[in-house]
Amino acid sequence: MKCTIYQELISAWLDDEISSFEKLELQKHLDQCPSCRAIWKSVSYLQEQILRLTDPDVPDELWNRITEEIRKDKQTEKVILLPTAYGRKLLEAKGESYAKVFDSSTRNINKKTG
Amino acid sequence: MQTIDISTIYACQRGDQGAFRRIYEAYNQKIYRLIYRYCHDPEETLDLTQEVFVRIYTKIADFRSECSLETWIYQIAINTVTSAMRKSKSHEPLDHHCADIEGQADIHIEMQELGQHIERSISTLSESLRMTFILAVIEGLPYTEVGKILGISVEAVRMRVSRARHLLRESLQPYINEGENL
Repeated sequence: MKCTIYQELISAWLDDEISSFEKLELQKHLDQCPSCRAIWKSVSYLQEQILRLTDPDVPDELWNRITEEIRKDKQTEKVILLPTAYGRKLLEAKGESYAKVFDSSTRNINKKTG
Repeated sequence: MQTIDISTIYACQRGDQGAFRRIYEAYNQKIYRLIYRYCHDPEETLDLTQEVFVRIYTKIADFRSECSLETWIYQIAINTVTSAMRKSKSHEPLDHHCADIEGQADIHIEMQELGQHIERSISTLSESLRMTFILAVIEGLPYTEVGKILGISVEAVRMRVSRARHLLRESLQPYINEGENL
């Protein structure tokens, strides 16, 4: 096998994604190949440092921002989705024009958001 | 971390705010961390994490248990982040940054700085390598799970992780040598 294949095995080994047969093959190769041994040493060291990375703190404001966004979406949804086929039927039953009611609803929203 | 059972998912699908809060509590750190490692920008991370959870809330009714909730949430996060990054195109692949990193001749760094270099190097890996590497190595997910999330084979995961490690090792070699000699 070429060294590049063993380098893939080194990577998989670090993630515990290697079979026992592959592990044995890799160990044999590392005993004979100084170049792959050096790579194994470097990536193992890199792995140690990666596992020591500090986790970022989640800002406290995140939950409020999410709920606020959902609330805004719901408001928009209510007015925009009201004139569905069912909504139209309701309006027609009342003898009102869908276009007239929809225009007036969106105007009200524009007033509030504008 | 809280475990999310099926009844919480059903409650959330019915619009129960408390159930959504439990899902948020269980996953906000993972998703925030994933996005932070991906884009390495606190403001962008906050915006994108917000977008991910709004999408989770609006799409949870479509969740059908064909995969685990965690896989589904990760998929939403990855779709949100990658489409945002494509729009902004602010992240160049690692190859463009290797010269900058290698060009810093005077290397007397503290171990904390090595962490920063690692973070920066990860954030400049190409999109596919970066996400695979973050999920498999930093988040420590099994390759099979990463494959499901990204829609690729286990072999492809293995190859991408190895390639990412190779690029990181090359770009960080001066710091690695320094650290190994400490």
